[in-house]
Amino acid sequence: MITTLFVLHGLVAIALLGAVSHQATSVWFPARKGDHSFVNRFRAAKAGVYTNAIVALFVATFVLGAVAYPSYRINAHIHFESGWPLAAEAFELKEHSLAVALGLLPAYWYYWRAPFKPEHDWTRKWLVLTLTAIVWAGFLIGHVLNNIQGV
Amino acid sequence: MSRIASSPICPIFSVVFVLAYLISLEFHPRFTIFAYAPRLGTWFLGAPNLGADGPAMCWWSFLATAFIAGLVISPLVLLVRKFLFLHERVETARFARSH
Repeated sequence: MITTLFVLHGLVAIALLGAVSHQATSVWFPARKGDHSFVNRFRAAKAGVYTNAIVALFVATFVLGAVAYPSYRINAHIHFESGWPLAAEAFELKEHSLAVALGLLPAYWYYWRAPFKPEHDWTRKWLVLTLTAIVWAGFLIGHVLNNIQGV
Repeated sequence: MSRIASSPICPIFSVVFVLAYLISLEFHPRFTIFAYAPRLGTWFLGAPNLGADGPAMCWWSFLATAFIAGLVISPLVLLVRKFLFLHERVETARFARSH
């Protein structure tokens, strides 16, 4: 049961990574005209269409992680505290930064809803960049810690 | 749902949520409402010292504190903001009429 939950948590997180990375690159590094490369196609995504998916995927990933958290606390975190202090601290960083990102989600949803006001361009750009950085950090930390000590 | 998303309460909620989360974390265990002991499968009010039966998980409590603070404080902030905006408009209209 708990393994299924963790696998699901990881899969939804990967979908979230894809969506948020598409949106961030399309606003920070917009596509160039006439360039048909893979990278340019990646950047050419319509940023606005990802908003609702990002909100839903973030909440789903967060809830799945929060439900699996007690099992992690007993099986992995105690192991980290005794021999891997840096890993334990990395997880603390992950849980707190993701909680902050959860808090930012209503603001992100508000500013990323069409029609986009030009005066909110920078707010939108920084919100999606912050969210992307936190989601990537959370994914990498979670992945590495799971390799050190699985649940 | 779309009405909530287009309401200016959303960014205010975000600010209050993040501040309340950081405050509850900084002032842990003073602001910790509840904790869960996964080894015992028991909930506690406040942050208990469980010793060998630990750990006690307080993270859900930080989230709950932030969420409740957001739900309570952000409508109040929005009301104050609306009142100030209305007050400013009345004052501007009064100033325009007198000149």
